[in-house]
Amino acid sequence: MKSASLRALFGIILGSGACLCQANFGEGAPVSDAEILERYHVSMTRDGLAAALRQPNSGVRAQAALALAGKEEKGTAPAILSALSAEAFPGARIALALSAGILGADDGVVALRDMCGDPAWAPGLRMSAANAMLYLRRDDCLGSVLDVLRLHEDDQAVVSALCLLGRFQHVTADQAVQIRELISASLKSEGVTVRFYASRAFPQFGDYASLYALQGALAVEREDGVRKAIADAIKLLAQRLTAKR
Amino acid sequence: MASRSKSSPAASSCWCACGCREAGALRLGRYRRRYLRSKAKQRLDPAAAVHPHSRINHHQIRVPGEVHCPPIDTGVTATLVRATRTTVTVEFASSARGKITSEVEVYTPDGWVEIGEDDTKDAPTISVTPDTGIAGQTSFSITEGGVYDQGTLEICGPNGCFDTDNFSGLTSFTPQVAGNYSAVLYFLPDDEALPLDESGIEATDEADFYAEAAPPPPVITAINPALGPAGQSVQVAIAGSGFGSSPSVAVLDAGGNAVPVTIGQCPQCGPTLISATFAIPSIAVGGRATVTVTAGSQPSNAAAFTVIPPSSPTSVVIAQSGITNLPLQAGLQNNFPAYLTGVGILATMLTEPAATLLNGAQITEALAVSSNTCPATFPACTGNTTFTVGPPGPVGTTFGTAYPQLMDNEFFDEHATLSLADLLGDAGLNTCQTICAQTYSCNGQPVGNFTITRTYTHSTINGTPVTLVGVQKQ
Repeated sequence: MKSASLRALFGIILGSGACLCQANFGEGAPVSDAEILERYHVSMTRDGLAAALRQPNSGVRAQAALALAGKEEKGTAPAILSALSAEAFPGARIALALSAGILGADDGVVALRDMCGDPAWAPGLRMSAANAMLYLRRDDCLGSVLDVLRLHEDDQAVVSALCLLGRFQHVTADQAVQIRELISASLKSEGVTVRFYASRAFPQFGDYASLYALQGALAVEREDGVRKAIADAIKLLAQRLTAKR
Repeated sequence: MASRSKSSPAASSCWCACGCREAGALRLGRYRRRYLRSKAKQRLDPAAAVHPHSRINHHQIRVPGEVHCPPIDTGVTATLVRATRTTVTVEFASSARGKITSEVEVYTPDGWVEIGEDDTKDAPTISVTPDTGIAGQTSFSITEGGVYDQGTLEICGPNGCFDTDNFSGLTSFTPQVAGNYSAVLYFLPDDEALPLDESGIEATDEADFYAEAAPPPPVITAINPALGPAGQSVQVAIAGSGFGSSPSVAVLDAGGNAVPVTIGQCPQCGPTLISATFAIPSIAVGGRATVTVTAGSQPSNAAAFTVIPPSSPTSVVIAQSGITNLPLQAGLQNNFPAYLTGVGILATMLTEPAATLLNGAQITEALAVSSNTCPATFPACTGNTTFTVGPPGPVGTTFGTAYPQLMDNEFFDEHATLSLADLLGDAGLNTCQTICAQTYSCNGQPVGNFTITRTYTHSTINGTPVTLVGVQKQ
């Protein structure tokens, strides 16, 4: 099944009585927000998108806000912030805050910072907020990413955190030490995907000790994909350390 | 004793003694006075007033310039044009606008006898050209005629009225809403010699015009083929509606450069089909071109046409920081716990060589199962998507997670699994794995091989059993 259908499923399946045994496999290009909004008959004009901020479907509200941000409709930031204040669903809250932030509204940044830092939020959601913050080229959520790695409650959230690490621009020496420790810990995770992305994150932050950690992980790793990822990481890290010398 | 006779019936029907006035047009709560229209050359009939045997001394006609109703204008002049025993023709010079009543007297053996009155001069008029057009398209010219005088132009239509003060005498107006319109020029009281009604407003006759509803704009629903290589001419069929009988087609490449278009003929061509040839220059910017049909001055939606660049990618790699993980929780939004299995990653893929702009290149994929430890209820490796490289695009969302801006030479490839069921829980398993081999090709040549590993892990979210999907791409 193509991603287009899969994503449409996200929006409409709840009331459809679809068979619970059905599983869908999505491969392909993601559907653009414009296409999704078109399915909901949302006009891609400024007025149409602004009106869609009040749509019953939270996904449409989120996509309409991002479309306004993509069109650089700066005058709509107050409307997006207003929608954000009324928004209950976390995924939509993240998208609305990101949209406001793209349009230059500081309140959007503040909202994202609150979301990624909120320990009451599920770690996956916190990492989604951190991901959004990085699109604003801000490192405010680095502490939250480290928290999620440290707590390691949810493999998907940890994978998200590991994928985000390489996008932070300003990492202090202390934070780099923490990152190395947390990546090393993730290399020992039971989750194969966690180990895979931990090995991929190492080359950017690793030091000589990290090489030993990677070699130790390689020695015990049984998954071929992860073994290859660790081997690639060792090679990359060695090149980087050599180049630094 | 002098007797009075009114001038032309048309005029006399519109006025009476001092202080009263013809019936004004009632609109918008205002009484408006109409200018009386009649000829500047007024033929007067003295028969009723002049003794039948009298001779009219046409050299002694006089026009005192007395105005019946105040204010008095004494500046009226007239000249004799022709006089017979029964008729006298005088011509009044233009002076102030509007209705001015002047007595005309002739000298008879009985003395001066008033034989008529003239009450007109060249009053300002208003005209509109054309009187019918299309809303949103036709520009109506509104012109003041007669004796020019600066007043206020009021245009009324389906959505109400608006005024233009100090009307210069000529303007254009393009109604945006279909319906009947009228233009009128009115004047506030000033020092002109005009008899005024109680409201103190006088106006020209209304000039009516009509704006028809514009036909629906053209709509493009499909273009076939939807892509073509730079440096070649491609004949395409453009399907849709509202193309009319003489549409024009414009194509702009991804760089905004015009692509020459020739509209051709075909048996089915008409309001719903256009046959056109796009002569795509070899220097056209590859990627998403836009096609627009214009009919009746109305442009259609911009439909996509992909220009394939002259150069082809030689390899495909994962872009730096090119993996966006898609956690199930972010996509749940208001649907949790409807989805109990999901989701995966969005991979940003980069085509090379980086120094060549490759937007518009078509990359196809082929997937095959390398290994699978999951039960048959799990989805297998399927998919044969064709990806279009570029163009740059804004941040978006997929499965509730924001994804990055697409850059030149990049394309997105999403690897996700979604189910309403807790797949592992239903199968009584804690984990399983599906590995797919993926090959990207361009023009039939392999440009990248990847392994996509889906690891399904049983877990819980808020106490609800779920199957989390982790995807590795390498």
